[in-house]
Amino acid sequence: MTTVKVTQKRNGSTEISIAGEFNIYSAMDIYQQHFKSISLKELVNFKLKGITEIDTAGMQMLILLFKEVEKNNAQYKIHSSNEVIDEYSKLFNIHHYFNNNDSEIMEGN
Amino acid sequence: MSLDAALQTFFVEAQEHLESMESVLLQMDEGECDSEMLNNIFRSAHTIKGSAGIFGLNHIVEFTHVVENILDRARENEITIEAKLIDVLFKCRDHIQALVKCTPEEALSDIQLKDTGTELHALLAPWAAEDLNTVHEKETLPNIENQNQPVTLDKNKYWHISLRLSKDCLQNGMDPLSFIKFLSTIGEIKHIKTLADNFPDLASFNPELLYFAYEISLQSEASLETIENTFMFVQDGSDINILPPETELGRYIELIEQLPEDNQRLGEILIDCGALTANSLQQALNQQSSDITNQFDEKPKLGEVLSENNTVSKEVISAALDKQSKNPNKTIDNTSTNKQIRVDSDRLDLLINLIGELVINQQRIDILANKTTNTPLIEAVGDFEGFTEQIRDAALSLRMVPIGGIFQRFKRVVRDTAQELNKEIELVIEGADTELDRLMVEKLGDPLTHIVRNAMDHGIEAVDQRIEAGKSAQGQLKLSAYHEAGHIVIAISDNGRGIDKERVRAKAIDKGIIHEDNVLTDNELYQLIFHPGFSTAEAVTSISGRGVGMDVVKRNVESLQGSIEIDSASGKGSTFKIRLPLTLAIIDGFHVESKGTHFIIPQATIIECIDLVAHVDIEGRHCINLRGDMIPYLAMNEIFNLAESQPSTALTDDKAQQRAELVIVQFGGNIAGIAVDKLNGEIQTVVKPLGPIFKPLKGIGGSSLLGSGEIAFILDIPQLIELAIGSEIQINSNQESQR
Repeated sequence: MTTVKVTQKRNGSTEISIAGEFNIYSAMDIYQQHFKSISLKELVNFKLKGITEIDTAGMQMLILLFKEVEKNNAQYKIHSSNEVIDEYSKLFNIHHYFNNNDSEIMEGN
Repeated sequence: MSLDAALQTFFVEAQEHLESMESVLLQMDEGECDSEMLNNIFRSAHTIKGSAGIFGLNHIVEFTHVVENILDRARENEITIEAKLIDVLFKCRDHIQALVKCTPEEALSDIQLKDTGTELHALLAPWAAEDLNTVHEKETLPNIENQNQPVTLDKNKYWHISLRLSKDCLQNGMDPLSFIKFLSTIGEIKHIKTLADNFPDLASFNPELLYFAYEISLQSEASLETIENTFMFVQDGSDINILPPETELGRYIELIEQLPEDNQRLGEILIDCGALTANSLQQALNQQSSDITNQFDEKPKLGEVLSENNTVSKEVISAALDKQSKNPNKTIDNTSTNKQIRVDSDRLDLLINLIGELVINQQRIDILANKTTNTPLIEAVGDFEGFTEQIRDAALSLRMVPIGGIFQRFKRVVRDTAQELNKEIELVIEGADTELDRLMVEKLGDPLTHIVRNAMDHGIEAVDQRIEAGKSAQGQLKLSAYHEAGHIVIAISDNGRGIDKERVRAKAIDKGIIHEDNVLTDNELYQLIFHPGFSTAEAVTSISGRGVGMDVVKRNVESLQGSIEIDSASGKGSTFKIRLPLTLAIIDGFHVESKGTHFIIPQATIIECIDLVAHVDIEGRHCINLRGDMIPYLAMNEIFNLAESQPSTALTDDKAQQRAELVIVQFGGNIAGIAVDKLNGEIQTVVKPLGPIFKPLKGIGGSSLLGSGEIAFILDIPQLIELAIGSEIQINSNQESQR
């Protein structure tokens, strides 16, 4: 079961929170419901701590969102680390996508 | 390829590798052992482990890894293959088979299976290099911590793998994660670059497609084939380039120079030195053909294709070409490449069924055409019939498989049973190339096992008994297969003590199967062995001797429209002959009628047709004298209690009409006649099995639909001959007793 919450803040930033299994089985539904026509213009805060499992389909969607943010000259921040994401990104040498997380910012803030 | 299909392929291939392992072990057991055999058995274990790893079947990986490790040590001459090790390896092979058959969850919960695994690992310990648990942990878990360190790629040392996997691989259940994890088990991933350049924009993104591409630097001692096999389930639609380290290139060139001066093609030289795999060669050959856009184009050279694709380095290709140019008998011919494809047997069965329908329809068209006077149409239908027959034969040949496969299995059965019984038994196989319908091969396994085990247990004597009887200490069991009169005969013979007729007779009387006064021929006496509950063994053993089995053997063989006969000589041995039809699907038949009911007689059993009216019954029995031979016959109308369906006024001599024609049939050494009213001629017959309700019906083997839409019954000739001979014997013995 995957929970995705997209919140547009008053300050123009967007908060994307994903929890549960983020994989090929849920990827299509999540994309259709939440990301297909999302507009990411300002700061985007990613809350990914709740992800319990991630595969290549899930990881591709995260990278797609990061790329979309950069394309729009916006910024993204990843709040606190996640073991499964760390493991995957180290294995595939893509941890640079996740290196801009601000350890000072705690989830829930 | 979907995940399910890929898994299915894994199971099929694992089974093939297990069979290959068994075959090598049996050779080793006979004292043979060379580097090729060691390479073969190692490769089998290695491929099973590798493929299992891709599917995350860790229970198989964990166990097989240790076996692979031992085989590798034997390959490197660090240990020698000795009898004790062969015994353990046989058990390990069986355990891998058991593991392949169960899911990881089942493997975890099955305590007995787990214990067997632990026990076998302990048994392997004397031949293992280091503590098995340590090795295992080190090799099966990818070393994530140490990889992806920023390293300068050293072309001298590392394999370079460029992966552009097919876009739909995620949808098919293949995540690159499993491949990368597997690569970590055969070497160390020094660097990996994940390319995300091909991502579409947000709106046209498909979350189920793969957009990542990978460039991997791997340090590994594995061969090109092993590395390439990692991706065997995603090769369709993928672009995978594997470049060997430069040190490897030097080795390839050295190997090419050392190759004997054979008449080899470029591809073969490259495969022999390990620079190219058979699969990559096939892909390059396909590309070579597809690059021709019109008939005037010249085929690009194979070397150019391989070099352009970076499949093989230019240096290695030029060394191979040099080698080829030195060969005076050089011929380049790619046309004879042996191509094989794996086809699901269900698809073949569907094809046979459809061809069955085609045959029936062709017969219908034939009937309709013959009703017209349109000669061109009749001729065209004649041609159509010819082609239908060719299609039928070609399709049926697809289902034929050599019986050798099933015979090979008995090498192991004989080895194990002989050990268990403390007997010395040699297995001789003849006619392994004889082909048989796949369905029959599958169903023959159990009956053959019963007969083989019985022959070893009851037939072949213990060593001391054999020596006492002046025989060689080693008994012989022979499995042979050959064609005979449109049938396949599978003979199982031994040079043991033979069947003791007196004991069989005494046992049958004791069990109340026959009466003391019954006079039986040798053949009838032997047939008693197939009676339910019959066993002459003095002691019930775990091998055989419970009397359960031989009756089942007979039933199984009969369900395949076959028969079984026994020949035995006291002190010399016995032979069990199983006679089977070539195929069960479509047969050449002979269409006859009796009282308006249609019957088909399998043509292979027919010797001749005669006019019955010209012959006189001997002593009022259903028996005629045919050129000095006494032939018993059966009248179809009496056997099946047929009444005239459409009373015909034209028939005046009812008796003559009832059995006007006699079809003489043979099965094995027995001959009998079948009396019918009308002979309609040859016909291709699509065999449809009869429903269970007709099972007790003797003499009918199946049914078929005629071109006219009517039903015809296919006669079971072995059963009918048995019936004819049986009734003749009965009359004889009655007459004897009256005198």
